[in-house]
Amino acid sequence: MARIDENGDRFGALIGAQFRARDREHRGDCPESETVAAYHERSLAGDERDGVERHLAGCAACREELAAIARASRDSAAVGAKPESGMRRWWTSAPVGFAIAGAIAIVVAIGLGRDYYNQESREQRQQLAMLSANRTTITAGQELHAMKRASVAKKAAESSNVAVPPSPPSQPAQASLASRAVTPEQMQATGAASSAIPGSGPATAPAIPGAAVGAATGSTLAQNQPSTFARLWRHTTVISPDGSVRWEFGSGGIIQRFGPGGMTAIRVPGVTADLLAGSAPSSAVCWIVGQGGVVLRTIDGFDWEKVNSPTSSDLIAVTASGPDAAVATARDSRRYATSDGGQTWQPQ
Amino acid sequence: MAARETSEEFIARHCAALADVYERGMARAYRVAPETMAAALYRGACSLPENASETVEHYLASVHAGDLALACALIAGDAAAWDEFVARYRPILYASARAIAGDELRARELADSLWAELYGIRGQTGARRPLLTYFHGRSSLATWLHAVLARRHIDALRAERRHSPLESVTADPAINSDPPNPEQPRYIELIGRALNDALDTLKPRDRLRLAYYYSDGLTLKEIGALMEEREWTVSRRLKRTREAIRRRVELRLRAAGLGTEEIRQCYDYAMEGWSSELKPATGAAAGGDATKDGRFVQSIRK
Ligand SMILES: [Zn+2]
Repeated sequence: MARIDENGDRFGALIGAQFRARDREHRGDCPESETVAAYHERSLAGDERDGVERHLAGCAACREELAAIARASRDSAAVGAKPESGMRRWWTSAPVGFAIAGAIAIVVAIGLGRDYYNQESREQRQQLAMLSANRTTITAGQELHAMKRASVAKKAAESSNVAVPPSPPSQPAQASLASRAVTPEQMQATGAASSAIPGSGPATAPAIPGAAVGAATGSTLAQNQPSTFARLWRHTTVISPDGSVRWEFGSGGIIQRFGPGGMTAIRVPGVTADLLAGSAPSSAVCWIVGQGGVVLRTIDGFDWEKVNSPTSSDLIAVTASGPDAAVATARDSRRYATSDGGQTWQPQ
Repeated sequence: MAARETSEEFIARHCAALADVYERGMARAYRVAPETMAAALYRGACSLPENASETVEHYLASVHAGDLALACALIAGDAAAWDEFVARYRPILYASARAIAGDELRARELADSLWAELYGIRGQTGARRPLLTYFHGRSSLATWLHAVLARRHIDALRAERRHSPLESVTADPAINSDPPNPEQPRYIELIGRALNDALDTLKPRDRLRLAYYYSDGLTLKEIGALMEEREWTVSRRLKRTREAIRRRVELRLRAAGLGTEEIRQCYDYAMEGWSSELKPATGAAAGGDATKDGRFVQSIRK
């Protein structure tokens, strides 16, 4: 017997029998498939892994499952893409049409699929995607890529045999793109620490990437209201000139400060408007403006106060030169200046 | 995650990380809206075990972003995403099902039955809950699919086993030819409890290794692969654990007043009492590797 005990493993047999006697019958407390999968991939943190092993030791079904997963991973590695590879030339495998259990027919838009995914580089696909997902947001840092993008878009538009895909049961509204946090480099590129305003796309976009690309080449800056989440998602960063303090703010009037003293997050009492732009002339002074003409100011970097507003329309940019002086720009392009800390404003 | 965090709080707190996952997953390429992706990540964060060291931050940093983005697009019913998914994962799914189920017919059935559920069949209420909503990117999509298939297959097997009439295991009267010892039931109970307690004291990992070996009949090599240990390490640790159990069991039996001869009797009775269980277990050895079969029978006969 090629087992660990050569002398007839009666004791081992007893252990085995005891395990089977202990095995649970019902599977109510078995870990989720995803947890088992993550365990198999060795990506569980220590205590969760211990918990899974404790369960496994008492659950023959899960052990069997895990052994099956191991077999499946090994055998399917030969036929499939590595997870997340996404860039494989899969179209060579003729993926035309697939019926789902007689219920849902997925008709494949061949031309669309090919042209859309037939991109060699991740970068190209990403750029194309940026254009296709919606009308693009133009921020200060993005102009550099404009030409490159335009050429990609042109190529894509040319090659799109726009096939009409079946309308899936629920097409999600294409929300506007999230704007990335403005990086310090971008901040510096824009001169004073005034932040760029990301535009937002329309709430609906064509489901066909090719068509979206075409629309996007117009580069119109849409003014539609983004969906609730896109507003939450978006945040703007302002960094003090010496780089020591960073404020992040966005929807709902929440302002986070990162810097000496750690991270603090506050909401200015009574302010729930979306905060759209800021400017920090020093590490203690920062001005933030936003929806409905809201103007906020801090002169110690931590405590914020709401100051008088020159307008009730959205303020989309601000440039401050000190605790008292700032110039704010409204969505209608009007500009207002203050030199008394926001008590009074003069149209420019 | 912070207990009972609302999705808005979650989003506000993890804004930057969420944006990063969104970018990393190239979700835009799948026409997935940021809020859709964030909702999936929120579900994922909610599914993390409470009081575990796996933090939301770690989850967001290590999530399989591309796979999750694809899943979001699939859940939304995006045709091009389904196109890509079918093309990329159909071969994987069938190979997986073959590896899990063993025979071709069963594998087809297993894999085919999954598609509709991944998508989600509209129930009478009109709401569909695609199976894919249970995928949060904590593993790769491929491994998750393996796990889902494996669970279905094993549950089906277990249901079959339950419904098929048990092999009648009538005790062979020849075995019990000795005059019955009135102490037999007590001995069996004693050793059973001692063994049970000894197993309880083991570290989960040691217990798991033992279960793979003695209950499931896996080879040292198979266990090594599952537990990421070398074969000889598995062997050494099994021996050590087993000896520890034996010592503990005997200590317990001696504490109960049994001598060497009575302990031997305990083992004998236990073997007789459990021999009915040993028989089906050999047949159920995972994978059906013929060379492994029959060793319990063999060891009993010795
Ligand atoms: Zn289980």
